[in-house]
Amino acid sequence: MSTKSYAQKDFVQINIDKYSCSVIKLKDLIINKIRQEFDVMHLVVKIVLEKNISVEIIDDLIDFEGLLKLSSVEHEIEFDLHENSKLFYTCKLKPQLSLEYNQAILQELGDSSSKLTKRLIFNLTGSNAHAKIRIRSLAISSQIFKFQTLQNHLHSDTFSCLCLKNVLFDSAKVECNNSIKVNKDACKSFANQVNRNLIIGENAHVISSPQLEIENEDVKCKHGAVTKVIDEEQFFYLQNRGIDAVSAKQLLVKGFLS
Amino acid sequence: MIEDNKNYAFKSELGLNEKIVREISAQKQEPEWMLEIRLNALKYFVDSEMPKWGPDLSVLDPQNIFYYVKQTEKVERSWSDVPEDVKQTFEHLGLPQAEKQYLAGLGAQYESETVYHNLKKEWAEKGVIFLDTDSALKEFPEIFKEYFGTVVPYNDNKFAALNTAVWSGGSFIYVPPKVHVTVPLQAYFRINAERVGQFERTLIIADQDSIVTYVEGCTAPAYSTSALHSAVVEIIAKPSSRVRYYTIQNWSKNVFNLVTKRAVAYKNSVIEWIDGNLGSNVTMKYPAVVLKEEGAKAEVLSIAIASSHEQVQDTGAKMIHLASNTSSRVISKSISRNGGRSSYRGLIKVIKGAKHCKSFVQCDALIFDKKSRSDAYPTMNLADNTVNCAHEASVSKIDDDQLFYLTSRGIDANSARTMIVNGFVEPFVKELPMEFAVEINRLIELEMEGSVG
Repeated sequence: MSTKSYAQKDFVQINIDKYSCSVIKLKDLIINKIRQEFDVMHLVVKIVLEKNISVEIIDDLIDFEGLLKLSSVEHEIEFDLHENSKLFYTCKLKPQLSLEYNQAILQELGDSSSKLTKRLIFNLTGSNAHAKIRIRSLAISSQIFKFQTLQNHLHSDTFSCLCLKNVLFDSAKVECNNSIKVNKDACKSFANQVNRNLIIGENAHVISSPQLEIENEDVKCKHGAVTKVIDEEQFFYLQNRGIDAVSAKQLLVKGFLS
Repeated sequence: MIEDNKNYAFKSELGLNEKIVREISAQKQEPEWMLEIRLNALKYFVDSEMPKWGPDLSVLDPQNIFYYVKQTEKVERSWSDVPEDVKQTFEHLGLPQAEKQYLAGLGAQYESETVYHNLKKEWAEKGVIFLDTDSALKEFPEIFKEYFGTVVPYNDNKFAALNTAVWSGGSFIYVPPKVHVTVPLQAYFRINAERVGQFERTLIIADQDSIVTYVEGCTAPAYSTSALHSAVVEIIAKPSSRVRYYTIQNWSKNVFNLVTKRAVAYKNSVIEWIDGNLGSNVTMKYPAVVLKEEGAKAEVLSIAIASSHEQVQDTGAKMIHLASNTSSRVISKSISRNGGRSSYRGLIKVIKGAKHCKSFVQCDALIFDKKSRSDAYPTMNLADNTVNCAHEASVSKIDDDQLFYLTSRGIDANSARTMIVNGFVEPFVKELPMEFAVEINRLIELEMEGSVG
């Protein structure tokens, strides 16, 4: 995956070397580091997890003041995972919507034609480094989401697991470009990647291109990509039990994203 | 390696230019329209750039290849008329016996011209045409002109253009409506002279409600300078027809195998590509099916073995869903060892308005050592909200647990590994017709030799 070069002022590096708190919100983490003139539209963050650190990072960068209203947002986050470090990365785009999905909220956000690109790089540089990546998104109207991820295994005995789920309403478009790269020295690596897309909108469009590049024989790598529609039988089952069509759909979307 | 004397009826000069294209066309006494297509294609080939993706093709020098070599003057009908040296080579490939036992017809391509063609009488009586492509152009110009270049136009890609400019030989099959060809039609291709590119052109037309199976096999003796094989295969499956296309390539390890294979499936037709890639230096091959009308079905079953240093098997499949209720399935198996590299590169495309399409892609890869490499680059482009599409891929080495299980039951490590590999390729092999299955098993065994330990 090509990395764009950014001006130094737009770049933030954070080293996590002490076990401070197990759940960290990314916004809190970088809020002190960025200056006034910082370009929040094109954020480049590098996070280094030192030895034996285990953290859960919640990516809430999208909550930055007014960011949602902007037309195009691009974030690049690179993680370096050292020996024995464990990372649980979660990124939920409009999770509140997915939980209480209803027309009122939809209409409120209906105008946003925002384009969001997330570039995530996970460098597993030390043995026994674990990365668990969870991304959920719900795209509406004519939103365009691009997820470019790279699980870069640079050391032996590393583990990474990506689960990316998208729900597409209206004429939303989601592009998933997910790579797994296992380098020559990274034996006994385990890499897994799951991409599931649920298409609901009439004009929704999914492009999914998972990639595997394996240069070592002693590995276990898998990827799976599934794109489907709401299961008729499940839908029927719920309606059968007295749940109206709208709620049933909401329930199924919620279940899909959970 | 098979040695034989090189007696050529005609051999073009080295390289490619307009003069050579005109010469090829004149040699074949082709109609004006064909020459025109050839020249247009040549222009496109010269103007277009080398593909920027995929394996490195910089070693390939299009000016260092003989584009046309003609072995004998006329197309032979019976085995006894075939020249002795050609026969000798085919003897090594075990052709005559195979024909006696299994085959309905046999088109054997030696160098660039088909020298031997034989279609069993019963099929000929039913109106099945099985000819080499050059003769087909002479004998059935109307059918030929109607379909030639409709599935793969000359400006499709650089190598399709090259093929269109200099094509020679290949098979032409026409199956009339409601005719079921129950025995596979078979043709063997091989490169035999140094620096000879083979540019065969295959055109298969299955008319309504017909069934046909075509088998193409490639073997080539090893040579040191780069050779190029750039074929184009076009298949047209009319409504409710069924076409099965088998191919196994085992080119020598210096051949660039850059082929374009595509089929168009009309209403309720079924197309199956069964594709084995064992040899060559670099193979780029992505059998494609355009599912043009409702109810069409397509399947690609492929195996790729990259077993020597710097060998690249860049294979895959393309499924383009243009109509509702179409379905496709791709199963791809690959093995990388001894520094070989195998890649799966595929595309599933569903356009908006193509309702209830189903697609399933499965790629399994075995990787043997640290020098080798295995990649998967599938792409799914889905623009309809009633689609059901799944893809999965996995890469791993031979499972230690399986190996332990077998060895603990008294099977030595070598046999155990062979058993596991055989099990791995089994879904592919079981689809092959009998004589082909035997052949591929033997080839896989040969390829895997020395891989254990």
